[in-house]
Amino acid sequence: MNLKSLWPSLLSRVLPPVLAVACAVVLGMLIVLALRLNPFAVASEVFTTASMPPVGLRDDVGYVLAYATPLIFSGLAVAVAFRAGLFNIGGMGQIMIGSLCCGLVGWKLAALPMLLLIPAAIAVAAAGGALWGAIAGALKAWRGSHEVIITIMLNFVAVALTDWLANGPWKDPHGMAAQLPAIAPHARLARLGTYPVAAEGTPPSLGLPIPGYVPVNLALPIALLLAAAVWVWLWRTTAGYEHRAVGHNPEASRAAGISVKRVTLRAMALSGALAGISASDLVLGYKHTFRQDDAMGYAGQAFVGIAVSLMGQNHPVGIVFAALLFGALQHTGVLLKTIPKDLILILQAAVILFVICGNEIFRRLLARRVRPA
Amino acid sequence: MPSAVEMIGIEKRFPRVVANHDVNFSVEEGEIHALVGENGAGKSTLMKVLYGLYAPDGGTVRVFGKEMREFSPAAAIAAGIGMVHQHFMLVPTLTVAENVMLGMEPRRGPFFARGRAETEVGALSEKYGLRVDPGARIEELSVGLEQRVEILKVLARGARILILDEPTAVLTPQEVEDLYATLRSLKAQGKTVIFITHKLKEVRAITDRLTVLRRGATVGTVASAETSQEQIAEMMVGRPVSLRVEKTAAMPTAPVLEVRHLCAEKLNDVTLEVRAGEILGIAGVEGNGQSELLECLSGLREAESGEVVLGGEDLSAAGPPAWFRAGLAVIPEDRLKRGLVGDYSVADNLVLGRHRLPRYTSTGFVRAGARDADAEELIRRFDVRPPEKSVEARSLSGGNQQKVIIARELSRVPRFLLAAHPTRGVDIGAIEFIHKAIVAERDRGVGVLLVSAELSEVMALSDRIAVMYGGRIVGVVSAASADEKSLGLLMAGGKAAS
Ligand SMILES: Nc1ncnc2c1ncn2[C@@H]1O[C@H](COP(=O)(O)OP(=O)(O)OP(=O)(O)O)[C@@H](O)[C@H]1O
Ligand SMILES: [Mg+2]
Repeated sequence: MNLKSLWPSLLSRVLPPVLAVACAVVLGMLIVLALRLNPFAVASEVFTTASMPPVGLRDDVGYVLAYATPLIFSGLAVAVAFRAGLFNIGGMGQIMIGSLCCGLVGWKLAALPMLLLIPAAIAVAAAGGALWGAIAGALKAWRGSHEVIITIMLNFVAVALTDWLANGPWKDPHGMAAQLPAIAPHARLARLGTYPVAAEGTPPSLGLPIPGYVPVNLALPIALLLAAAVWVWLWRTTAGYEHRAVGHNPEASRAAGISVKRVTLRAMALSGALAGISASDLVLGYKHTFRQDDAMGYAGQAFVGIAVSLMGQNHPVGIVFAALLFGALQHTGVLLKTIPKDLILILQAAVILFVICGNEIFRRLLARRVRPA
Repeated sequence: MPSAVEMIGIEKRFPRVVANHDVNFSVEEGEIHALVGENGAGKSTLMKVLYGLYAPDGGTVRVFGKEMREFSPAAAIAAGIGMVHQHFMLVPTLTVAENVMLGMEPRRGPFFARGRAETEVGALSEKYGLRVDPGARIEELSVGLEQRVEILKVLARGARILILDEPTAVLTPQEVEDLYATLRSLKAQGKTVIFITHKLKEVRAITDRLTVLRRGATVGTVASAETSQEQIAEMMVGRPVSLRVEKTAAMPTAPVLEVRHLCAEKLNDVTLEVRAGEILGIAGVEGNGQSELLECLSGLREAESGEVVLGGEDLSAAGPPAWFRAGLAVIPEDRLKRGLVGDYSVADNLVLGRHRLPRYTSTGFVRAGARDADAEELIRRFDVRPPEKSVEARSLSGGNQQKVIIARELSRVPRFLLAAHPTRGVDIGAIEFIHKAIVAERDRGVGVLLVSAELSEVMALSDRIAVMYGGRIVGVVSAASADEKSLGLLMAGGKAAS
């Protein structure tokens, strides 16, 4: 394919989301106006708060990346299922199970050296998420149960299961809440930022010019690597070819000898695994233990992953950018002072609505051209 | 008096193809005018421009002398144009009257006046001889009746010009006769009809004039009755075309496929045998178990009882992979449903089902080089137009989609070929090509089972003909001794005269 023919298709993919964001921003301004505030004043207030000394904008950049990290994982999870024609809204449950598995390995296998312990914890987190996704996949493939219903119900099961385990058999005897004992110190993923003074008990850090208290950690590069891996898998491997074929046309795929059941099961397992690996961020990089209430708050963000995937057109590259945008929106919410933080939720919803409708409207605008008289 | 339709210098380009280039097309009021041409010649595109679905990149459209300035179906309908698409757009759970009146329902107060709608639709169907029960649900109707509803829908919106895109491709012979009667009565009432078809016999039977398109340009307009089929075919293709299947006598050897006492849904004790090196044709009115038989013979449906043996292996409970391993190739009944992934490129479709071969995959990765090289080769050999491996299969014209499927299936080098309606919606040049390809497979020693809605195709291509009725084989005759009349009798459920 030459560059010239690439242009229109690239343009038609990038333009709708960009237009959607622009429309959402305009809508946000109108809402601020309706609150009898000056939108530009609000914007400058946000910016002033953000760039306050001594760290200026550096911690804001860090926070945006920190918010974006789980959204990349859950966005990829939704996209992989979607490419096979499946709708996985069980990211929450898969993250809960993955995080519990991750915390368990980081705690119980503390005897392992770091280079084995961290990969083991991530692998078991992936396996836990994969199992949780595979249950829905198997029920869909062999019993015809709708994956939307099953994954929603599995979210509840996961929350109840982890609550029981973190309260009962595996409860940290010294902890107040439902939580596991902390993971081994050498199981922690390095933070990207820098600590002013390396005190006892601070996590390892990479020394980038971001304050150390910002929880963005090595899970972010892991997420980016996974995005690349998902792209390669979907568009360069034979399994990915079958995966997308089933997503486009299951009937023709079956007639061509592709096992639709196997693809369905694998799709849900992979999707669950991607969600489960999010635990590397929560457990290994951020909280350093599995704590039920933290995990629920974190895993609940999986629903935003649906919007991220949608906005990113179910494409890994798009998902990374959409995750950054939604991360920025969430962080802006923290900075708002004079107006309600609900504005951010409204903006998120507006972006989603404009993306959904934008594609269609844009297409029609292109198709219907009135010729001049 | 101005012409009903005048299209002058129409230009329509798609990203990689010029679909219409300087096309001139005019239709007089009250005539039945055919639009013919090879697959991908630009017929559907030209009609979509007329109906306002596409805005042309150049040229002028006049309807009853008035120039069209806006291109939208609403503007076209206002100008008196109606179009019946090849894929019907009806709501299956609503009744005939509700569908016809959709968007322009008669009301009593805020409520839908069902009674009045049914009377109006009844009157309309009376007027044009389009008999159909206004109270029936769409899902209960046959394809032929659905088409009538589509025509009624168009007439109810006041159309004076009707466009029909390949209306006969999906109809049984009897339904085709009924459609012709309808078209004649429409003409008698002053309507203008434009219709696209690949069947040259019918073109001559019911149209007044015809226009031939070739590769996006007009070749000419001629009077139908004064032009022979051969002449039309030559105008379409640009060279003389043989309308007869030329083949030598079959030299069948051992059986490849043996079906014994097969029972499944709609199939009632079917026994038949296809030998290597012969073409067995299945004749029968659609809906007598052919679809179910095709599914049983490609692993998509399990037999309830009985044996299905391919190459010595019992496959009565096997899925598609086992069938393909045993040497099956399939040209499926429904192209876009079973044969192609519409969103995939032509190159990706050409390896569908064969993508696991070592040639196309190594260590789990797609071997894009081999895939693309083979795609180019197949596109050239099977004359797929446009010759572009990276276009979406969906955007190809129907006939070219069919060529993609046939190219892929024949490159499996099968021992048994299941061909369902292999030339449905395919142009005359491609029909010749496909028939030759099937005969060549036979001569290579492949056993071929052919199912076709067109009796003439079954008769021309087959070496033996089995007639299906009510889910069973009611007779097998040699093609040489078969005649249309006795086959027709068998197809209608009569006993073989022996
Ligand atoms: N939406 C589209 N996008 C891109 N190319 C298209 C599109 N529609 C049609 N084409 C191309 O334009 C050409 C003309 O197509 P068209 O459907 O008009 O052919 P046709 O004469 O109706 O053929 P057939 O007899 O097979 O239906 C073909 O090469 C086709 O691939
Ligand atoms: Mg067409």
